[in-house]
Amino acid sequence: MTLPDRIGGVVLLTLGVAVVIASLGLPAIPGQPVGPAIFPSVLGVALGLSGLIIFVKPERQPAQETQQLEALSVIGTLRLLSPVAVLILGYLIMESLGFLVTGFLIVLVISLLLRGSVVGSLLLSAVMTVVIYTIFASLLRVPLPAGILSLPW
Amino acid sequence: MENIILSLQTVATLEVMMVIVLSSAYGMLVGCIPGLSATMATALLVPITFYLSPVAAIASIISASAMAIFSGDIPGTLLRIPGTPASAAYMEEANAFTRRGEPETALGTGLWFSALGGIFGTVILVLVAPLLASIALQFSSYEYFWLGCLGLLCATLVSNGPPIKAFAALMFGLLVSTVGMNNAAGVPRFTFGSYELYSGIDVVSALVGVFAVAEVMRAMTAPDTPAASRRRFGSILGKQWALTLRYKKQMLRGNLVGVMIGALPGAGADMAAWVAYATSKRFSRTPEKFGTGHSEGLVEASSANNSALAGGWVPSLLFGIPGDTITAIAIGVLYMKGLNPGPTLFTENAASLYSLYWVFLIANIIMVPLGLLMIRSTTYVLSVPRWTIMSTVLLCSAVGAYAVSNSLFSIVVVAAFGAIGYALDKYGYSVAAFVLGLVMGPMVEQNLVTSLIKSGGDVTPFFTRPTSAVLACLTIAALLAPSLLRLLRKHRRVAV
Repeated sequence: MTLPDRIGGVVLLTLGVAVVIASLGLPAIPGQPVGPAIFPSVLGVALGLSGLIIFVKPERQPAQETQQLEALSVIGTLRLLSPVAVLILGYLIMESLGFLVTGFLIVLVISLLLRGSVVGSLLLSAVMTVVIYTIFASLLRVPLPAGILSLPW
Repeated sequence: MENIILSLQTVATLEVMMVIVLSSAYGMLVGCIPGLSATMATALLVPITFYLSPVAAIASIISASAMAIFSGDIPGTLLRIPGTPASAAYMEEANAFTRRGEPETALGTGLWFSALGGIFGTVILVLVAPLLASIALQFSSYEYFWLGCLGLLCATLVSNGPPIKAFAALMFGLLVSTVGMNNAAGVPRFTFGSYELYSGIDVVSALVGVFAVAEVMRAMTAPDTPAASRRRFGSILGKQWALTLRYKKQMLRGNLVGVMIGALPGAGADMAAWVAYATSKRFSRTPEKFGTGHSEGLVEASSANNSALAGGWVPSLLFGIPGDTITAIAIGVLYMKGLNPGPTLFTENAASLYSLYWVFLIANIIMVPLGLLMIRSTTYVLSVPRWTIMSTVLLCSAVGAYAVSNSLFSIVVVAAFGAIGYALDKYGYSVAAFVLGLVMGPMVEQNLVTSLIKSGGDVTPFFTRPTSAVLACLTIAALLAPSLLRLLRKHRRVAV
């Protein structure tokens, strides 16, 4: 199966071309021969070329890998992307709900997705959130968003 | 001499000592847990180093990574699952000892030769670095540009996958580093109108994403690891002295291979272990015993992976070119702490540099007692269920990135780079090359633009300055090497 490399090649080629076009629009430094455009332009060309080579000469994936790729169902894909989704949701609610609530939810969701027991996951989420809050907010003085809940220390 | 005393004073403080012990314990734990690598241990440590003194910050990275590389041997030996990729090379061999009922011998070998390898690597670092520094002092932006390119291309040559994919990953990493206003003209590049991207993509957040979040993603689809059976170990270090005497040649060869591979940009402890194990088998008088619980290869590979760690610091400290993914992260910390890598570090900041040597020595010495403790308590660590670890790792990634940048947007960066890191690894694009590009991009670009401005847009000085010319030839050779090799092979096949 060569499909992943074909797609990867096209993506890289497109990205390379887009970078070159975008770089050409960058302003030059007045009176200087080179500016902020040169480095990304070179990179864009190199990226596009390597994308082209990968597209034209894709490598064959071992059969085992192919099976794995196909075995990834809709639910599997959702599971795979869940850490990314959880982080982005966390980013959206962190400001208003604060670190303690958000952190608790992040740990809880991931624990449950990885088949932790309900009681265990609840317990872990509570303990870990408080421990990490203590280390970062109290000891290292990181201004974690307080939101609706804060600890006495 | 004065520096030696001064540096001892900076190291022998309560803060640094506590940091060394705590990060060592942390490294031991992380290394022992399958799925958590030494690089990831380092990435998650960076937010904490932000709040430490410069020497303590580097000390924490040195000790945590050294311990993690050793302790990766433990699950490899007991469960046939490498704790870190650096232990994968000789996992079968070490596990054969367990099947024979002598896991303590294999674990002891891992511990003893890791500590010795680390010390050997440190000695080489101490001896070689000043020599190279005196050469590097004569370099100007032209030479640094080529050196940067050469380092980056090395990373594509030594990667596991196809070179063209590593090259693409490298270019992509460099490209990511150009985002923001951090360029000669101070204009926003590739920010897509987002103000958050004006200051560029925070390297620490990106690295945490690539190494930690991607690992949580992998855990989502991988089956659970089996629990280790509880066992009591016999004497762990008992046989090691005899082994040292019997295999001293293998040990030294492993150390040397380790340091050299460690110093190559992009190749780190895992590559060193593979090469050393293969070398050992190749030159052994009894290659047929390999894989059946034979100490020889184990000695050589264990010696190599820890000395590679110190080797990785040579180009990092001298040129700001990371020798492996761990030092790629460490370079960021060096800049953050005002210990900018480069030959001037050896003249202006000699005392800080000497304290790093001390930390290396101390870390590799306390590795032995801590390692013994770790081995004896392994069964407890390995019975911690994976869901507790991975969910905690994800929260630490988010908080860590926020702590460094003080911006909630960095959580999005962490998430995005988690997905990017996962995809790169999954489809065979070298993650190490990508990370190297990301870290070195600003240095390469700055040297390129400065050089061109100095010469008025003329490219000839890149090739006419003597050192520059040599480096240019090497770079072009490195660029063409894969294609030339392929041509040569094809030619030979036709001839046959």
